[in-house]
Amino acid sequence: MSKIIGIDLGTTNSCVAVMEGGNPVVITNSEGNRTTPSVVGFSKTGERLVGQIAKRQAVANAKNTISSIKRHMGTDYKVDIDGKKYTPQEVSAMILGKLKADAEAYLGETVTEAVITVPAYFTDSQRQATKDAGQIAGLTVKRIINEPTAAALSYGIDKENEQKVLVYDLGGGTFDVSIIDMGDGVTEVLATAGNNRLGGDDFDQKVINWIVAEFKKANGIDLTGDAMVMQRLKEAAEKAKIDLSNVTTTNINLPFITVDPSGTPCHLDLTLTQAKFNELTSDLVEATIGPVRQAIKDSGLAANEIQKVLMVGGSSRIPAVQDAIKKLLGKELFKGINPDECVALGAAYQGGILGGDVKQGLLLLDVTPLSLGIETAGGICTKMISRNTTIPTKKSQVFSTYSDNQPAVDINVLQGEREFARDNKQLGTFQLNGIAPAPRGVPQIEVSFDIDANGIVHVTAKDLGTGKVQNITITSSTNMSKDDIDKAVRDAEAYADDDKKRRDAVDAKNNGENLTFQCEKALNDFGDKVSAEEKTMIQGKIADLKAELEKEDNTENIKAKTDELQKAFYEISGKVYQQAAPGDGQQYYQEEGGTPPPADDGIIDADFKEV
Amino acid sequence: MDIENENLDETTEEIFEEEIEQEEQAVPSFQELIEAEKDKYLRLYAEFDNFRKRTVKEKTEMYNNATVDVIAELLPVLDSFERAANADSTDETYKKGVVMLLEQFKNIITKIGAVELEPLGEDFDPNFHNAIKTVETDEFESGKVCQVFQKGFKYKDKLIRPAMVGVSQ
Repeated sequence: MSKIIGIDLGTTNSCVAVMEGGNPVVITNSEGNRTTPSVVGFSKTGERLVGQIAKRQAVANAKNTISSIKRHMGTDYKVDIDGKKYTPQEVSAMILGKLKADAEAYLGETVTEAVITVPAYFTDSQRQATKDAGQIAGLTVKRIINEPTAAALSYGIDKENEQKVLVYDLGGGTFDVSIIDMGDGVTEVLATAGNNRLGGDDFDQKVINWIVAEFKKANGIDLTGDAMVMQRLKEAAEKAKIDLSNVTTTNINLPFITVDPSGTPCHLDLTLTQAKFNELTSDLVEATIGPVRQAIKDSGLAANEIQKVLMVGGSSRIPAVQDAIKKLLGKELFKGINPDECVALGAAYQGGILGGDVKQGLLLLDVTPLSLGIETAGGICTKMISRNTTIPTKKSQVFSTYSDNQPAVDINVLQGEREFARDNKQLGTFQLNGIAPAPRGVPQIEVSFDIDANGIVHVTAKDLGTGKVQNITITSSTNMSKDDIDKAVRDAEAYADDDKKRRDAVDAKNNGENLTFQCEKALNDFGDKVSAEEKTMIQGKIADLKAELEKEDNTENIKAKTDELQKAFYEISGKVYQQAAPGDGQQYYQEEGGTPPPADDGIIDADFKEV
Repeated sequence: MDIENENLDETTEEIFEEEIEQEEQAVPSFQELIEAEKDKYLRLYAEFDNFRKRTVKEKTEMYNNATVDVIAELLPVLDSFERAANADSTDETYKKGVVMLLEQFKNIITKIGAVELEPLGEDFDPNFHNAIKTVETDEFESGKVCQVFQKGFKYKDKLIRPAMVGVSQ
């Protein structure tokens, strides 16, 4: 029953993910971060430190701290720590061990199996070493998959037709480009290229150098000698780089960065534009283009034969990088999944397939592509189940009648996003009849929508008074093409304002009509308890409102008159209730032969059309 | 002939029986189907139950995490106030104002729950300290925090920011 986790065992950072409810999710580590530095340290007391903690002690304990061990996988290289020799497998196992522990803490169960990713260019011995590392960490490696393949899996490309995909992976300290051929469950690596000493850290360094130079130019002081200052610069440079992926200028503001020889404080206040950043780092971007060209050439493909370009690794967010690749390949990039996480997510997805979670269809829950509802007074489409609701699902709502003694209601089942029935697709209609004679608004008709796992919609209408039931089953609700669905959603967005205005008008009219009806009824019922003056006043206002209701395109006036009538009527009804003994209110309902509706029972006052 | 016929019948029968048996093996019984569905349901339910438990935990954690994140974003301002307060200035009144500002800011984050770490002279502990340099000194034994460049803070049992320190060698 235990889950198979997916691990992106990176050179600088690692990430672990797992399938949950049909979707891969990244597991946060015990420090609360979504990625873990691939750094291992041994403290003086012999304690083993992994991740952020190991990184923090690296400076103080340099010779007992190991980073970028991945570069040595599959070689005879050994790390000597206090006379004890460690193989790259053993060091990697320590990183895997932490990821395993974090996953277990998250899942609340033991984890024994994993899918681990490796670069596409890894040789058999490097792959074997990775597998061994898993074994040492107590993980059975169910499969080793290529990082570009994992990235493509996270985008669901395995479910599409066969196609050639270029994966551009610019990580913290390594750069890889791979061209893969995906289709029919088989993935073939056509070409790989890269530079394993190029990454995001180089971009940071360029910014740091620029800040140092600018500061020296302005203040004549060299900042490089001060470790504390350089630490602040490093953080500021990385932040500036990240900012410039979203905005065109950023402010680097480090007050009291140092003091000049006379003891006066110096501040660092610089503005870095995206253009300047691009200029500073253009050689780095160019350095990634060479390998991309090389990979395309090696794959024997023409640039236009590559159907998709996936961007992986944090630094693939840099706009200049994206522009350069777009220009080179002449196509839009495939983005959307966090580039730091997509490899681990893809590995988790692969784990899900191997564990049977995905294949069994257990986790492939469907959603309703469009909203479902029924038509109510004024031609409005009242939504019962909104789009993207996971099925199976069931919803019920109570409606009422529109006219006194209405004998039947028509249930018009609709699909779509528009506010009005006529703009949506009609799925089916039926009638519930035999409603006992009653004033409008009194009968309670419960309408239920039930969509089963196959997307079949059962609509039931039940008269809660008589218990009479009528229903319809609609099997064709889901056989709309993706284009049709997209169009329906687009239309709804395009017409949203118009629809809202029209809906507002209908709502105002319905409210107005309801109120006149209630007031007239109330005057009949307890007209003897109010003075003739008050009665005339209310009747006058009812007439006013009715006159407004007759006119077209009159929403604001209707609303105003409705408010006026309501206010006047509340004042009078307040008086009437004060006169009445406490028990009388109750009696009023009983005389009507109905039960007083609970304060908030979700009854919608929009009613069915009379038939 | 009779005997032969009987034999033939028996063989045919055997063949049929075998075929039927094979067919039966190929078609999963209702029992098996139910078992498979039950397993699916149990797995999903177990996953949901774990999800529910974790969600409850995560909800309680959310407030703490948000507090930590907000304080962490504000700390650079505190650093700058501190540097400003320690900077030389000939204008005493102005300097006093800056010191007061610093105190005011410190009081606020303390009230929210931030606790300042006081690492000086303690054993270097990467769980709370970030070493940015090593210092040759006789003042401290090796492996102690001998300089604090930037203050570290925690909130309850969470680290907001490690203290940036120098470690004695």
